[in-house]
Amino acid sequence: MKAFPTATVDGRLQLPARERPMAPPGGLDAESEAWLRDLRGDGGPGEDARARLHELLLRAARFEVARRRGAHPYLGAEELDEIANEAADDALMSILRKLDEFRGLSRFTTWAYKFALFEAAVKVRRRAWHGRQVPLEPEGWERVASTALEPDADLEQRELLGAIKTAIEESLSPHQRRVLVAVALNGVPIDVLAERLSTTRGALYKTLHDARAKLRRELEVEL
Amino acid sequence: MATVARMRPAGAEVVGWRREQLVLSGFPLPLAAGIAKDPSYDLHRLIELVERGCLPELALRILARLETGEAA
Repeated sequence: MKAFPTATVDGRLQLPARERPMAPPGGLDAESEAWLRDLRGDGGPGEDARARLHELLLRAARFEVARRRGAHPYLGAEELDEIANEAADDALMSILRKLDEFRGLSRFTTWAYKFALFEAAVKVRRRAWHGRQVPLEPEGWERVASTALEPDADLEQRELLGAIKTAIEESLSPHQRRVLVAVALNGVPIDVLAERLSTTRGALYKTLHDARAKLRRELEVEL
Repeated sequence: MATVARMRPAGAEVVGWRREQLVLSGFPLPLAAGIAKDPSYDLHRLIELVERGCLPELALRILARLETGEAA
């Protein structure tokens, strides 16, 4: 029987164990092996390796933060450096927790950089929403509608949007509606909403999934 | 090196926003005000429990119990 991928808690797909990519036939490259050995070490050498890795991660995080700076001109240099440092800290902790998952499909440092880039991207996005209003009610359905349509297509679109709006208002619970509107309509990043509610992205994805399934059922009856 | 685990105190706007979400979901204001200030409460789970018919005070006890391991 075919084994299907399973979803992890955070929604990623995971291949069954026997289909997961294995280490390359030649084994790990010498540099990657050295990183793994040193990072697992106790005492001075272990501390030294972790400090060296932190430096690399900080460089990667600073690069990613600088790359995204243009989209967030109100973030000052000090704040950006703080974000990069936090991203490097969190990336290091994630890497140390996941050392056993490194399969050697790329160099260890390439694998590690991705953690810093991801953490930096998430943190810049969160900081950009820091102190901002998180809109949970529809701010304007006109934003969703296309304005350059022929009259008959325009009518069809208005009917469809009307049906969706009614389904959102009538078939979802108030909280489901607020989460769906915030994320799908108002563009609030899911990690920002998760942080505000002190919950996990997985819990919000589950709510979104349930809300979409309800809407789909409702619209199938309506249309 | 800096430590990683952080739980920043929420700013006034965020606390106000959290309080509003709880009140909209049926939490009495004094209870909502207390929960809103405490970032250790998962508002999403609290609100979901209440939407399923659980009383706010009971929802609070259920989640507090799960997270702290305290006996009722």
